[in-house]
Order: sequence, then structure tokens, then C-alpha cells
Amino acid sequence: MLKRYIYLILALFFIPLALFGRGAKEEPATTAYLTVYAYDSFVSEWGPGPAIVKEFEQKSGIKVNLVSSGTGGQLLTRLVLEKSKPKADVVIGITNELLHETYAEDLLISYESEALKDIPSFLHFDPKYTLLPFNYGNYAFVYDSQKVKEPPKSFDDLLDPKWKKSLILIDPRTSNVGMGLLQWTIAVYKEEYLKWWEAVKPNVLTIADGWSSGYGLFTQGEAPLVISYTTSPIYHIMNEGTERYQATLFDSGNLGVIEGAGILKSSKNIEQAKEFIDFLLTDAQLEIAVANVMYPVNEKVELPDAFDWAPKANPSLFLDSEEIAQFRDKWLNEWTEVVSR
Amino acid sequence: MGLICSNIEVNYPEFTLKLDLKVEKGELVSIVGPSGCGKSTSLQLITGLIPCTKGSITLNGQLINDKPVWERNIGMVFQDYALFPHLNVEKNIAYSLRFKKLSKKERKEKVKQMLALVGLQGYEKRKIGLLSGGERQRVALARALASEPQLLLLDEPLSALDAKMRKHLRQEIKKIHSATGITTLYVTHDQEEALTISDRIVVMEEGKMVQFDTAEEIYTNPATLFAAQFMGEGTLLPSSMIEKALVINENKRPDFLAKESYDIFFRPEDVVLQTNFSLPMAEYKNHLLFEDVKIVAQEYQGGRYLLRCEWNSYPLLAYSSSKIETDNINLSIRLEDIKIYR
Amino acid sequence: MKLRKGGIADSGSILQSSSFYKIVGTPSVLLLALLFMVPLLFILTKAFVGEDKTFTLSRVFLLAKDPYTWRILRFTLFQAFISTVVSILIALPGAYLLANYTFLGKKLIKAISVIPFVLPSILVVLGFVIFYGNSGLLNQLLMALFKLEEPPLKILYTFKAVIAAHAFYNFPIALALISTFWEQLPSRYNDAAMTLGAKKLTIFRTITLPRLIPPILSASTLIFLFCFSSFAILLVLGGGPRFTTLEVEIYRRARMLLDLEGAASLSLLSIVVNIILVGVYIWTQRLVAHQEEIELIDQKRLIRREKSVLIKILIFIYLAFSSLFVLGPLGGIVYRSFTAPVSRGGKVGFTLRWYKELFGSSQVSSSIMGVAASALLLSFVIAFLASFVGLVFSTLLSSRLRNQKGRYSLSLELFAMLPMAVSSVIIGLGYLLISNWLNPSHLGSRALVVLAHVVIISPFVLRTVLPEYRKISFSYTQASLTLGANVRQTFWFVELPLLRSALITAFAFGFALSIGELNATLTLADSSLVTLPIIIYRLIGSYNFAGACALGTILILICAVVFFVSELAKRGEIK
Repeated sequence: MLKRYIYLILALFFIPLALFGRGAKEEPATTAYLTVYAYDSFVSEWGPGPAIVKEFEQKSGIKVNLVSSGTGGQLLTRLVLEKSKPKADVVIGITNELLHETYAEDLLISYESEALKDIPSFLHFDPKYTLLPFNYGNYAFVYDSQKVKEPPKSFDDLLDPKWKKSLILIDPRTSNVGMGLLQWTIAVYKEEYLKWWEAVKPNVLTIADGWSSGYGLFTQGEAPLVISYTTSPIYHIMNEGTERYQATLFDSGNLGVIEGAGILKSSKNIEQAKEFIDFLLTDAQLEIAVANVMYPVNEKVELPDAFDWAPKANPSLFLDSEEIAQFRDKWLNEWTEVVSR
Repeated sequence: MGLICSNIEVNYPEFTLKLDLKVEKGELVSIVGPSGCGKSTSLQLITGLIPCTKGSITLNGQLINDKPVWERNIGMVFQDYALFPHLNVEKNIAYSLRFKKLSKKERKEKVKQMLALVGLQGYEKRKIGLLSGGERQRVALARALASEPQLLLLDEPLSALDAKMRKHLRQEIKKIHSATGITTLYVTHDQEEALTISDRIVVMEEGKMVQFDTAEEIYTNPATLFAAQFMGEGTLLPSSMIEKALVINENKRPDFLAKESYDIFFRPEDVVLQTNFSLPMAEYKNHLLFEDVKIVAQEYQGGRYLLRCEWNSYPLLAYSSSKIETDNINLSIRLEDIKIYR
Repeated sequence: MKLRKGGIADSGSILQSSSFYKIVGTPSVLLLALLFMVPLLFILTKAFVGEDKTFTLSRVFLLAKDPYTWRILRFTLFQAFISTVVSILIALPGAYLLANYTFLGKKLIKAISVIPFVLPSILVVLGFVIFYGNSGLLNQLLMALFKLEEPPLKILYTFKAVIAAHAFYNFPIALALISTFWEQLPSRYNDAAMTLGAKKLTIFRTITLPRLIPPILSASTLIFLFCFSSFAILLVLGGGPRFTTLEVEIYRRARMLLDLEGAASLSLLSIVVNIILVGVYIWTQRLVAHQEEIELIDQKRLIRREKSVLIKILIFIYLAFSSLFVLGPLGGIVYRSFTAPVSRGGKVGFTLRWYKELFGSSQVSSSIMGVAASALLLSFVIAFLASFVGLVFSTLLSSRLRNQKGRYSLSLELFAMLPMAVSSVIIGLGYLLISNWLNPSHLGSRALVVLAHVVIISPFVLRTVLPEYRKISFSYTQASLTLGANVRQTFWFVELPLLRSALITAFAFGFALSIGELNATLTLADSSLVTLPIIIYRLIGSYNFAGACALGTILILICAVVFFVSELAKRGEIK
């Protein structure tokens, strides 16, 4: 009896094995080969990665291996862990707030690309040009226009009792967006920021662990306000055909986040890497903007109409990266203390 | 030939197991003893399920203690039968044959043979779960015998069955033993079983073989108190009670009386009754006289009565060919008929 | 009939010295050591690295003295404890019903109830919100039924919601473990007590309940472990940082602060606590096994078929309740996958759009089938390979653990269960290290993913196979040996067939776990290796929640089918 099963099991075992092996691509030949680390949503099918890589390969003949590595902080972590055996040539997705840490690790070379001339100066967040900006956005509160007729225009507005249990915020300890929100309150209130967090508590429905859960709750209708990006409405226009979800600008400004790309010192393909960065800052800009639903840095890019639905932040606020590096831990501890009470 | 266990010694926290026996080829030897005395362990040692570091085991002239279990060709029937639930009767019995490289046809033939031997013809395709206790036992036996082992070990094979089935199967086992002529070791705690089927009996206590003899010999000259009590009923009295009942008629005083403390034991059939108190006891040898013994119960055993009596709150046993009408009687037992155990 | 004690796996038995078990037990251990222990230790040593990169215990000491650490540890233990108690309480009546009565849908319940356990937690959270949320399906239903203005059930974003979600996740385990054990309790003690005049409740309290303690304990430790390292559920459904656990802090340091040293030291604390728990778990497992060994053979509890009206009502209530509880959130996910905004105003309507998008062709993907279809195939293949290998390794290890006792066997068992005791963030970092160190080729990285899955599912597969293996009476092994089979043949011809049911369950379980695995796969995979959970994760990260729900639905379906098939496959077995 067992014998019959054995053949069946072996057959079942080898068929997938064969399929598996067939799926594995061949090792590339001797042509130049760039390894690019990027954050996960960049690499995903719905991100810009696959399309721009294809375009770049066709254009330059350089093969690109796109590797997903979590989010911003994790990218840096990975590079640090791999210091003794570095594999990456290019890293995409380290944000401006990590600049100081990036300097400390000293992993990147300085590169002043030609394309920088088309990028407005406020986006040049790295004076040493080890991290070049390629994508940016602003945080904003997104609201459900069906339920919210008069959107808030400031943090103080959010303290109004009419917003009881109506806000979905995000935890800065576990999410970049959450961290963005925290920094935004610091940028606006300076040392008094904790007072806002204390006062807003009754209006908070929940503090989610990440943007995914937070925004998920929002679109489920659990609350009419969520912290997200100014560009979020664009997605709904383009993909769902609905104007229901809108972003509101604060009078004091919205915190900006700039994503940067850099070339590793350890890279053996510096020239090709430079070519890729140039491409990233020029031809790839439109695809990146649309797929990421964020803003391109290159002024020359013509954006589709849907982007009109995203309000332009004015001003775009930024905290000093050295300050961030120094106080981040302290801020998180203080925040945790106040909000857990 | 046959089975020879020489100087086997295994240490356990409770006792040290010592085995030293010779079983003749074709003999059926029972191993009896109190619970936990090492009977089953002895079997496991012989099969090799427990490794033996001291001593040697020889089977039909061949040394087997260095051989692994599966090469010793010893058949064993377990207390819970251990019939493989995922195989039917046929496959269970044929299990050992697959390792002997028999052809399919030969296996089928052998199974048929075995089933006939145990009286379960036609049971090949039956499922184990649906068999009765007695049927299972017989399949277990058939399975053990299928590969024609040189030695058959049975570990309390009938203890799971009811009395009637036990009696019946006991005879079956004896018949099969005669038919196959296989050397057999049979562990049991049932006295009747051991007495009826064995050629010889091993009495074990605390890991030691205290007696190895025929049933008759053990009955008449039991080496230990346990052996004595195992082989049949009797009366047990401590030495402190002797003085009360002692009657010395002969010149010689037996030596044992000088001993410190001991137990005395005697069989009911050796006990003499006296119902007529007016006459003295017709006993001229040294004996013990128990006066005014109260009869607690009289059990009819078909042909005679077993008298359960009480003397100074000690139970006494005696036989009577007819029912006793009085409540009290006198009993006596010759000193030469009592066994002394320390 | 005489009671038998243990058997020949005491010291001094032939199996003890058999080299077969030692050999076959090794691949599992080797794999664990290489793919888990080594990278874990590497990460953990960071806990002892001081500011000046030298070895120091100061970090650990500081941590131990910090009152905040103890506060969150206390809370972590507290919420895990409450969750466990609630899970057990919910499971007990169900276990009673499952163990003593047959009714329609029994097998289906068993199969379906394990699904939440196997889904990525983000989906579980989403499902909960979709169903129980303030604007969720349940509230919508109630508002429509009773013509209410405000949603009546505002249960989320509270501590209660967290406990409920944990129970949802975990009570099926308790249900399965306890009911299986209960099923096999011989009824004669109860019968004897009844003839002595004891009432049913008394019997339960004094006879049945004490005997149920071992499986209750072992289910409890398992559930406790899971709740201990719970993460997304706590933060989202709890409402905020009031409910911080150790895991959140580890996550924060490792992911956000680049403070690997800090993460490592916290992780150390967490691991120590978890190892104690795993140790307790193993001890309770042995209690269970021991108790079952001395049960009489041939005694099988009859499943009472006659059901009084009261019992029928109870069954109905319990079924309704657990369906709501379990199927609710799952149903929510399915529901969401079929809805999309159908007008500019944003009203929702039924649509197959998400499915079509995912499985139709996409200009980005190079394969003919849609992105999701190829991911599905890949997930399937990986899961199949991983559960097969995992099953083989764990079964072989089990044979070693069951047949050979020794001073190593306890530590071996502990070792094999370790992956369950370590935070997934840390495991992720560990895998990062391995993949960098090994620098595998394309095929190599796929093999690495499969092996990582094997490591992750092994504790669960082991925990399914080993207890069943231990229940197999040693007389079968002994009988086989005396009948001429050597150790290897005995394993193949006698022990394995007797394990059939457990092997099938373990395979199904491992399969479901692998197909829902996210963290390790994400870390180890290069861009060509995209599995179903990765796509779900990416969809969620790019606004497409409905699409994520669609794939979640597929995942649920696959798991349900796998479990159902495994239950069917077990039908032909003999006890």
C-alpha cells in the first residue's frame, strides 16, 4: 500500500521542483550588471521599479538587478550589515531625515549629476551630494469629503471637539509616516509639540502601526481623517474614478519628505551607476511620480491632469537632519510617555 | 540444545536481575512471580530488546547475545498483542516473512498454514480492530510463529481475557506447542495456567530465580514462601504463635524451633481434623495442635469442603470430606509437614 | 488487565544505542543550526556591544534596570495572559461538543477555524475592521435591522478589541488540542462516578477537568507565546501606544532607529522569557504524552450520538457564535474584494474588477498570466516543497526524540522549537545576514527561501507530529523488531503508517503556514521571487486594499481547501 503512495509523492515532488527551477533565471553573462537596492514598494509590480529598469536596460544595455529591502531605515541597516561584503551599487530610497546617519556610515560617494540643474534648490537636501533627490512629497491630512464639509486647516483645528474619535494617526515608532507626523508637529510647535499630542487624544480613533493599516481603516470608513500625503487623492482619481478623498493643506505648512538615491563607495561599476542615477533623475521621473503617487523632482516633467487634484504644499517644512539624528530617540521617548498615559 | 542463559546479570534500581537457566529443546517453561519481579524483563533480555552486558545467551547451540533483535529469530507474543492496526490479519501474520525474502505465493501459503494452526481459517482479510480478544490473541500467536522461530516467548498472553476464554485458549496454546514442538517460555501470574501447561516452572522473586522445577516438585517442596503460596493455598503463621500450639511427643526437638523468627506454612490437605472433643488427638508425632478453631466459612469444591477457619485471629485452612456441623473444631499438623521460611 | 509502564525507551534499551536515530535526527538540527541559530546569535551578540565597539554587559544591565522595560514587559505578559485565558474559555465548550458529539459540519469547522492563524496579520486586522469596525459590516447590518442612527457596537480600538482579536486568532488551537485529547479520554471513570450517584457537573469538575489540565496547559503556552509577540493587532485594534509590547519596541529600534544593539538587547530579554515558555510547553507536552501512555489500550470513548434538545440548542449557539467570530472577519475580507467605488461620489458596488486586474495580463509583468497568477503558482510550489522537506526533517527528528531518551533530548526539543520564540523582526535581520554571507545565485536564493520556510514551519510541524508519535505504543516497535525488522524498517513499515493521520495534518499545517509567510520571504527574495503574501503586502502599501482583499480571499480559499482535503485524506485511517 505504501508503495503506491511513494510514486505519487515522488511525482508530486518533482513536478514543482521542475517548475521551480525553470522559473529561475540564468546568471547574466559578462555584460555590466548593476545591483540596485530600493525600498519595497519601489520594486513591486505596482511601483516604478520594473518599468524604469526595463527602459534603462533597453536604453543603456546595462543589466539591472533590482533588490527589495524594506523601507528607508531598513535600507541603511542592510547596507551597514553588509559592509564587509557589499553587494549593492546603487541605493534608492534613503530619505532626507536620515542624512546625518548616512554621513556617519560613510558608504556613499559624492556625485553632482548634470540633471541636478533641473531640480529646484530646496530639494537639494544633501550639500555633499552623496544622496541625490529623485522623488518628494508632503504629508497632509486626507479627509472623506462625504463626511467632512469643512476640512481642518491647522493642527489647532484638529483639537476641536467636533473631531471626537475622528482622527487616524500613525505611530512614529513603527512607521516613517508616523515619524513624519511627529516631526511635523515639532516643526510647527517646536518645544510645545507635546501639548498638542496631549490635547488631541480624545479626537484620536486609533494610532495605527503603519500607513497601510491607517489608510486601510480610513478607506473602510472608520474615521473621516487620516494622516497621509498631499498626493493621495490622485490615486483615487486615477484608479477608482472618485473625488471622494481629498487632502487639506495647513496654513503653517506641510512637512516635506524627499527621497534620495546614492552610489556606494564599494561599487565596482561606478560609471554605470552614475548613468543610472542620471536616468533616474530625468527619463524615469514621470514613471516614478505616477507609480509612487508622489512628486518628481525634475521641474521639466509634465504631470498628468490627475495631479491637479493634489494641493501644492506651501510652505514645505523640513527639520534639520542633524537635529533629527540627535533628538529622534528623545522625541520618541517623550512622545511615548505622553501618549501612553 | 534449547535455550541456555548463563550468568545473565542486569542492575536495576529495585533489584539485580540474575538469570541462569537451561530450557530443553521443545520444553514449555513458565516463569511466575509477583508483579515487578523481572519476569517480563527477562523475556526482553532474551529477545535483545534490552541489551545484556553480562553473561551469555545460547539458543540451539548458537551464541545470540551479540546479535541484534531482528536477527535472533525469536517469536514473541506481547501482553497487548501489538497487532499492527494498519494491516489486516494476513499482512500482520506475513510481516516477518517479508524480511525473509519469501515469494508472494509462499507468503500466502504460510499465512494459510498459520491460520489453520490457530483455528482461524479464512480470516485473512479481516481488520484487526474488529477482532475479539481471543481472536487477536491467536493472530498474535500465528504472527509470532510464522517465521518458524527457534524460541517462542509469551508475555502474559491471556491476562486480557475473561476466565472462560483463558481456559480455552490455554489449551489451544498447549496444543499448538505440541504440534510445533517449539521451545517456549511463558510468563504468567496465573497459577492455574502455569500448572496446567508447563513442563517446568521458574519461580522468580526480586530478579532472582528462586526455584526451577516441575510443578509437582515445587508444590511439594516450595523453595520460598512465595513459591509455596503461588502453587496453592495454605496456612501462614509467624513463629511467635508456635509455642502456643506446640506438642512434642517424640524425643527429638526439631532444630528450626531454635531459630529467631520465621514463618511456617502448611497445606490444607495435610491438616488433620478433630471434631469430637472428648477424645484426644490421634497424633503421636511432633505436631502443632490448634484448639477451639472457629470455622468462618465452608467452601464446597466438588468432592470436598475447604474450611476457612480462624485461630487467635489468624486464618487457617483445612479440608473436610463432609460438611462440619459444629462451629468449632480442633486441627493438628505434623511438624514434618510444615515448611519453614525465614 | 495490567497497566504497562513506559516501554523500552528507558535507559538500557536497544533503541537507545541505535545509530539510525542519531543519523536521521541530524539534518533537521543542522538546518536549524545553520539557518537560524548562527544568524540569531550573530544578531544577539550586538546586545553586548558597547559604544566603543567593545564587549560590555552594560547595555544589558541598563536595560534590566530601566523601569520602562519592566513596565512594557509586565504589560506584554498581562495581555498575553488575558488573551490566553479568554481563548481557552471560548474553546472549552466547543471542545466539549466536538469531543462528545458528532454533528454536521464538524470537520468543516475544524478546518476553517485554523485559517486565521495562517493569514498575514495585516489581513487579519483589516478583516476585523471591515467586520467589527464602527462602519463595519456588523454595525451596518444592525443599523439597518434596528433602524439606528449611530453604530451600536463600538468595540474596536480598545483593550477588549485586542483580546478579542487574539482570541479569534488563537482559540481554534485550543479547540483542536483540547477536543482531540478529550475525545480519547476513556469514559469509565465518568461511568463509575455516575453509578456512585455523582451529578454531571460534579463529574466534570472533579474527574474530567483535572484530566484535561495537560492539554489545556499545552494549548495555553502555545497561545501565550503568540500573543506575547503580537504586534499589528495590538497597535491598530488597541488604539495606541498605551498597549506597547516588547515586540513594538524591538521593531522600533531595529527598523526605525537603526539601533541594532538596542533591538538586540531587548530581543535577548524577550527570548529568555520565551525560552522559559517553550520549556514549560515541552514539559506540558510530556505530561500529556505520559498520561496517555498509561491509558488502557482497547478503550475508546464512544461518541455520544444521541443529542438532547438542550445539547442541540447549545451546538447551534456555539456554531453560530464561532461562525460569527471566525467567519465574520474572513467574510469581511471576501466582501471587500468584491466591492469598488462605482461612481465619482464614491458609492460602492459589486465588482469583479480586482480579480480581473490581478489575474488578467498586465503590461508590467512578463509572463502571460497575470502577476497574481504566477505569484500564486510560486507560492504553491514553495509551500509544497517547504512542507515536504519540513515534514521529512521533523518526522525524522521526532523518531529520534521519541525513541531515544538522554540528556540531549530535552535541549534538542527546545532547540527545534526556538524559531517560535524569536521576534520576526530579529529573524528577518538574521536572514539578511545569511543571504549576504552566502551570496547565493538565483536558484540558490530560491532554495534559501524554501529552507527559511522550512525553519519557520518546523516547530509547528514538529509539535503536530511528535505528540502523536509519542502516543504510539512501544509494543508495536518492539513487536516489529522481534519479527525480524531492523530499526529503519520498523520506522518505515510500522511507525510511519501509524503516523499517517498526523503526517497529513502536519503537512497541511506547514503548507498553510508557508503559503502565508511574509517576513522571511520578503527579506530573502530577489525581485524575481514574488509570492502571494508579498503581493498582498505590496497592494496594501500602494492604496489597493480591495486588491489585497481579493488575494486574501484566494489565500483563505487555498487554506480551506488544503485543510479540507487533509481531513478527507485522514478518513481512511485506522486507529
